Amino acid sequence: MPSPDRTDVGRSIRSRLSDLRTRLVGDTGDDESPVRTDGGATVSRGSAGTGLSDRLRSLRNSRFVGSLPFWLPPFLLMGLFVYGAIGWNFLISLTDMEGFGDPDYSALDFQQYAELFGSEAFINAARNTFVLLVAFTVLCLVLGLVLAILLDRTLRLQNTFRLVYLLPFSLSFVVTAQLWAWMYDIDNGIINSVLSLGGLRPDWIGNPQLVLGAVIFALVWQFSGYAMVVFLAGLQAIPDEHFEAARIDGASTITMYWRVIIPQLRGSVISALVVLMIGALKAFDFLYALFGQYRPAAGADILATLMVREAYSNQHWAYGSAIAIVLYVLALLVVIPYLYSQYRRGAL
Amino acid sequence: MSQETVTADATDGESSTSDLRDAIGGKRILLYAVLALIAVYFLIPLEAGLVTSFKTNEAVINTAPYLPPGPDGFTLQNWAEALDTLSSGLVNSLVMTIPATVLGALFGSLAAYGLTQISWKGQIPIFALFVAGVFIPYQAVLVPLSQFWSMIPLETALSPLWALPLLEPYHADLIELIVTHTAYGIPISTVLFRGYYMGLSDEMVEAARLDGAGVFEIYRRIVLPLSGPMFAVVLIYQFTQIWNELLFALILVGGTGPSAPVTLSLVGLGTSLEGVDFGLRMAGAFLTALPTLLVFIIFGDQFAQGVAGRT
Amino acid sequence: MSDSESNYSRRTYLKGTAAASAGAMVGLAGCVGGGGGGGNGSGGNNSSGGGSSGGGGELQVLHGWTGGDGKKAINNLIEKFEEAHSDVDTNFQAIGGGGNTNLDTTISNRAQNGNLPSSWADWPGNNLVQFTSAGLLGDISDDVWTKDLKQNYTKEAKQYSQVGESSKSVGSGPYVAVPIGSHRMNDLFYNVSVVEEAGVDPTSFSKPSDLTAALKKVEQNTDAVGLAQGLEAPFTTLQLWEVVMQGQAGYQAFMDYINGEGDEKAVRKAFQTVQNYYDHINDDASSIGFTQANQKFMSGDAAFVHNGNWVAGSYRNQDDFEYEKDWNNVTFPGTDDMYGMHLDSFPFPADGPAPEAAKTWLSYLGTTEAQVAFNQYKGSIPPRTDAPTDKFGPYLTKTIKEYSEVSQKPPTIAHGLAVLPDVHSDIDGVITNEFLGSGNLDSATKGMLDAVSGSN
Repeated sequence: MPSPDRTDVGRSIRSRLSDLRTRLVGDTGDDESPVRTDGGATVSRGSAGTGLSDRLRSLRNSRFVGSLPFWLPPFLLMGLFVYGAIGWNFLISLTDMEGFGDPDYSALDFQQYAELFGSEAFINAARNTFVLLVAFTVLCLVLGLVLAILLDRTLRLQNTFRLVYLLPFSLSFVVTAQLWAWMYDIDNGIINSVLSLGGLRPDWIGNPQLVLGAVIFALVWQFSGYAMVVFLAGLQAIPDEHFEAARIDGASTITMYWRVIIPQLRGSVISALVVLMIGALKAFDFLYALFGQYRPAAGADILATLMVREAYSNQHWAYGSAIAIVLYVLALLVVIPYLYSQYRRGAL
Repeated sequence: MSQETVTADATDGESSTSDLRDAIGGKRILLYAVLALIAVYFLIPLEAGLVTSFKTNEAVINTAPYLPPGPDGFTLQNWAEALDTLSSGLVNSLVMTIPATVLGALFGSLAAYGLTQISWKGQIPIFALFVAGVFIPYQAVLVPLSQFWSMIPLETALSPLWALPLLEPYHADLIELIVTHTAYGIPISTVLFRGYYMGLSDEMVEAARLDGAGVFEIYRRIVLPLSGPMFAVVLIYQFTQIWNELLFALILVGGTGPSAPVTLSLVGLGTSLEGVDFGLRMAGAFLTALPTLLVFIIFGDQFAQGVAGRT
Repeated sequence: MSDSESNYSRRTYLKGTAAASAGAMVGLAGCVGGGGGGGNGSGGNNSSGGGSSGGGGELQVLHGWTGGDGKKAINNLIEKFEEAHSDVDTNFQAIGGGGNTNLDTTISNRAQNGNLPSSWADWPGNNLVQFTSAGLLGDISDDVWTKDLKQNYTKEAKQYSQVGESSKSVGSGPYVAVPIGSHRMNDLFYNVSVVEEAGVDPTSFSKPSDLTAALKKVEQNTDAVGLAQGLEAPFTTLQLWEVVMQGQAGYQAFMDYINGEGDEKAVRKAFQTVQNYYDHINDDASSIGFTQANQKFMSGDAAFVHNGNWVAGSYRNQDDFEYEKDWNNVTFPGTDDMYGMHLDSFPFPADGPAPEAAKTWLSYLGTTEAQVAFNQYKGSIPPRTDAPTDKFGPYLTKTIKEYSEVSQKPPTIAHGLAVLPDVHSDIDGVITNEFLGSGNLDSATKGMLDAVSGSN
């Protein structure tokens, strides 16, 4: 152990940090990995505690009180805007608030939800939302993984390629929408300039069969680079021996990745999913900017656009709030398994 | 085992891993060709937009979308017009994004420290609420949010401020957006910071505590200085998210009034009764994207490395 | 007591949780709000918020004309107003983006927040019921609508400015808005050289199906398409369906439809005709807006275009594109005795900032000077019958003359006069999803009839 003088301790912590980074990356199930050496803290805490349970308890109490100023203000601000607002939103969805004026909270029922589930526009938007979420995340993950595998080796231009692939991630959906409106332009856009050589001239935005695919394609363009960065970090954390062992077994490259390497990237998948989900939930911005109005073309309506249109264009506040609650429940379907898996991994 | 040895192991491991994987990969030229082709896929919409932004209307129609304009077709007019239309939006976006980014990151760091370095039983459910807050669809809070801000006459309440130089009553809209973005930035910031702090050694904190340092001092002297890499990630991420956001601006500010952030002004740019002006739209798109593109070009590597360090 | 507790359903519990969390947010809003009000001293008046706090008497007017003709027109109007009333402190804001989408969002937010501007540009008629039903518009029957206005405005302009609390009271309620101009919805524009090349005579059309035949002929005989159309937004299809319905089934059938007593066959037949037209439109129609379609018309890539006569304004701005020589118009086949009614107006809020200045502004809009200043650039016609026509050019002068001659003026659905915003939105949904989306005429017809079924 280094002497407990400040600079040394600082250095030790810094080196621990870099260990930590290697360790956290990709969550390789590294319980027996040599870097997990800490535990000094546990020991000291344990020795301090033996036989002094009273003092320990008071220490804990004071620690709780001491921690309050740190997490409580952010927690309250966040809690108010997130959970306060969702609760309020749920309450509004039980009213029949419509038009201009204040909601009437005295008569609450689930009528908006009944109407919602009987509405064709809602079913249609829910289906599109589901397709968009699934196709977008799966495609981003697959493309990101392929890119990461290609980049995971000594390459002179590795950082340049990584930056180029990541660049679209920095753009606003509004900008992406402008760029892809131009890509998809039926007469002058690049895609049709190329396709016209083969005599094709698809109407990407106007054709209800194509438009959702076109939207997903543009979103994948924007986010797959981010998935690549996460996977690349995960791959670089996998110890050599795993590659070596697979090679000795005579596995082909594809088999090796499929059987040995990819299963170890579970943590990266989860980590990438977080940001992909956040992105997918903001798809409203893209559609609004692409169509310049609250109503996307036929075939591209999703719950997010339907909600804003009903609430802010038609002043059906309660109805819009009910759609928002459905959207939130949809998000919970992702959040709860995520929380559970994080909890089991001890990451909470 | 000493820390130094471990570090060395890790570094060695990384480079030798790469060598090994090279052997598996082989065929370098083909690899570079594939990577370059993929780079084209990622760059072509940007390239097409960029060349189009320098074209006159005739050139937009008559030249291939990915080719630069000829000498007759070249113009800076689009950029001049876009800058003229969007300049106030760009200023508003900066005024909104910087405080919201910094505040969100700071709150996230504080909350994460409070929930990591100081251990108490209740922290898991509390933290779970932070995590779940990351996935909030903005639509689910939109109606209450607009109701909430309509109940607070911010512009009136802050009226003494508007007498100060550079401040105008419409800045009340931006303050609403700053508070809003700060609040919704807290969950992701907290999650990112906590993943990072979980790995910080307790030794130093413990030592400092035995020295009699209070929690604030520990945060200020030890934790904060070590948070640099994660601050880089959180600041870059949040800056991008907030700068790029449209929905809150649309609902809370609405329209292209004096307080509109740039994304809001960009939506309607270049469409008029006379038709769609793609050159102008592209120039506007790049002007809007410039700050975040620059951030990524300059700090992209740090971001990518920082991302690797999170759970 | 304990019995009733056990009766709590899950729903009550949920509601309780929701109420508690909502309460926290409302509570905070209350605190901060109260604090703000208190800090301001006595002012109960401050609750009207935003606009009024600035200069107290500042006239705040919002509009959506950010480019082209509209911008020129509103700027000219504002300039003239400021010359005539230099004592009024003004703040005009152009809210652009997404057609009127951003303006509408801003207005609906501010209406919701009880913070409307002094006045804003909006369609009158049924479109204003959303405000009047919430008591948000003020009565200007006496202050602004003086005897002069009541005598000289057209009957229809007066009718759609009088809006009560329901759809039924449009035309009989108090005056709440001042119309500034009117576009004609039933003009069919044609590119002279293209129709000549095709051997088509538009003046010979007598019914909507004549146009179908002409479109075919254009495509046989020329390189141009028959009809230029942009389908990005549903209104272009809706307004076309309206004139076809009027042309095929007549004025009364159209009015019956609006009133919720539409004839299924007539509705379906109108869709069928529009679908026939759409066999002869530019093939990129579904992904472009009406402005791009209009460009195709001007460049001779299409023989016909149907739209509100605001497109005529863009022809005037085009070099070498002259009225009668390069483009011309006929009334839409079958609607010779009609003027498709559209109006732009400025409403008066009940509780807006600077109400006196707002009344000054609205009174000014009622003058012939204001209407000439605005409409000569906007390409619309003045709702006052006594406005001098010398600045309007031959096309608009002809339109003004025809306005006074025709006997029927069906109000536009697509531009808010005819039906409530709710109904309008449902109809837009039917057009987008059923007619343009799936192309199923049965469900489109049913949807159209269902949308208005609550109106009778």
